[in-house]
Amino acid sequence: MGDSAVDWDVLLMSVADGEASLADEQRVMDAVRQDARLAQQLDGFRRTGRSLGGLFEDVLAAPVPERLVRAVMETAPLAGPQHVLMRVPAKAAAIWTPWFAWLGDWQMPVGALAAVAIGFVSGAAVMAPGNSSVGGEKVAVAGPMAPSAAVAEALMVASTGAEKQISTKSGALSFRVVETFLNRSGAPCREYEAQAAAGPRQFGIACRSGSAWHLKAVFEGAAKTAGTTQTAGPGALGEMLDGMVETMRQGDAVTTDAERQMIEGGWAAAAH
Amino acid sequence: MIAFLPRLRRFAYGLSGDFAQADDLVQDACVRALTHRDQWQPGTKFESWMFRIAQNLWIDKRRSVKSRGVHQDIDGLDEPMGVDGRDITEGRLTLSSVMKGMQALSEDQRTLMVLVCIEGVSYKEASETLNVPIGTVMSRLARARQTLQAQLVPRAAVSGVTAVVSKETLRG
Repeated sequence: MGDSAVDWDVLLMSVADGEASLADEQRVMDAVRQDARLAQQLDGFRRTGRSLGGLFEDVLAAPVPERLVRAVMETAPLAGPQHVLMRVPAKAAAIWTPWFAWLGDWQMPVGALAAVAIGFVSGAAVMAPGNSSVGGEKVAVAGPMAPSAAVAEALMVASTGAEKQISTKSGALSFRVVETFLNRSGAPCREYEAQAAAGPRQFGIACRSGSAWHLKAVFEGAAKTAGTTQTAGPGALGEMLDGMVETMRQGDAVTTDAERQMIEGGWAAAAH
Repeated sequence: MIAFLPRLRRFAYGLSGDFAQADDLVQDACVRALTHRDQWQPGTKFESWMFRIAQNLWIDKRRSVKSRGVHQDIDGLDEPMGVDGRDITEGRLTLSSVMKGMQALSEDQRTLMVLVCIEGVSYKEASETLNVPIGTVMSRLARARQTLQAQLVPRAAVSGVTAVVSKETLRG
């Protein structure tokens, strides 16, 4: 890059934003050390750079107005066929979230799509009425789905946070309930993770319906730890799951005591 | 999409400086995305697609407003966080001061500011989102930042910031 062609403003800005090459950065920093005005200009670019995002954290954290969520939700079922597929990318990024599909159990008519999932759940088959492929990725479109017997049993007895080893047809799984909460209908739901010794971690949300657990969403992807995901960036699987739970839930997570009562009562009193 | 709403709302607020307008824009963008979802290309970033939809809608809306001769008073910008106007004279950056400063930018510049500096996307992603060459992104963004900086820094300090830099020094 010849000097005559260099846009020094752009170069300084690139350094401030961490997008310059190492060579350009070194060149700029050498120059900055010799010229106070240049250092001041670099500070100006830093001041107006990505640090500005911090000023907007409160905007990001502000609750989305219910009227906005409702307006979008009411529009969604009109936007196309009910069987909208969830894309499950191999790297758990850039996920197209068919929120109107998984929210559909109270937004859509009886018999409409209740959930969408990948083709298997925690090592055992899901009762899926149809399988499909989107962009070469395997998905299954399901009506009401049931988890495997082993997962259903674990959902019945596992306390939140406790690791439980379960045995399925395809091998042993380490199972853990992440959170228990009540959905807007008042039915208890459980977000869980299941990890085989080898293979991707699976995530699910199951809600109690009558005397059975119904899966609302199941995915496989990167591990989720301590409320965040190891897959950085928006759209990542953990963030999407958190968003689902936040939208489904009514109130806070159930307390340890309430959860224990539900477990000891066989979830009967709380079932809807 | 629900999980993405807070970010889309922040993006829309960055463009409009007004929560009511931002929410309208978010709603319109979601409706547009849902009704045209077949236009989303698998393998591309969902966020970029949504930002592009929102930005296009915002430009359309601004054109419509201009044609009707309506304008927004920048003093009327939302200040939801209880911003103290003295901050700007003391050199502290606040949401309010930045939003007011950004009103001095063109729509294209403001969009880039929001994408890169607030949403944190890379120059390359911004280029792809807005469908403009990366060189244009960088030069336009640099101009926007200088304009914003001039708006934010107390007048006494501006001369030093915007002074022409010695090319000899840079060539060092």
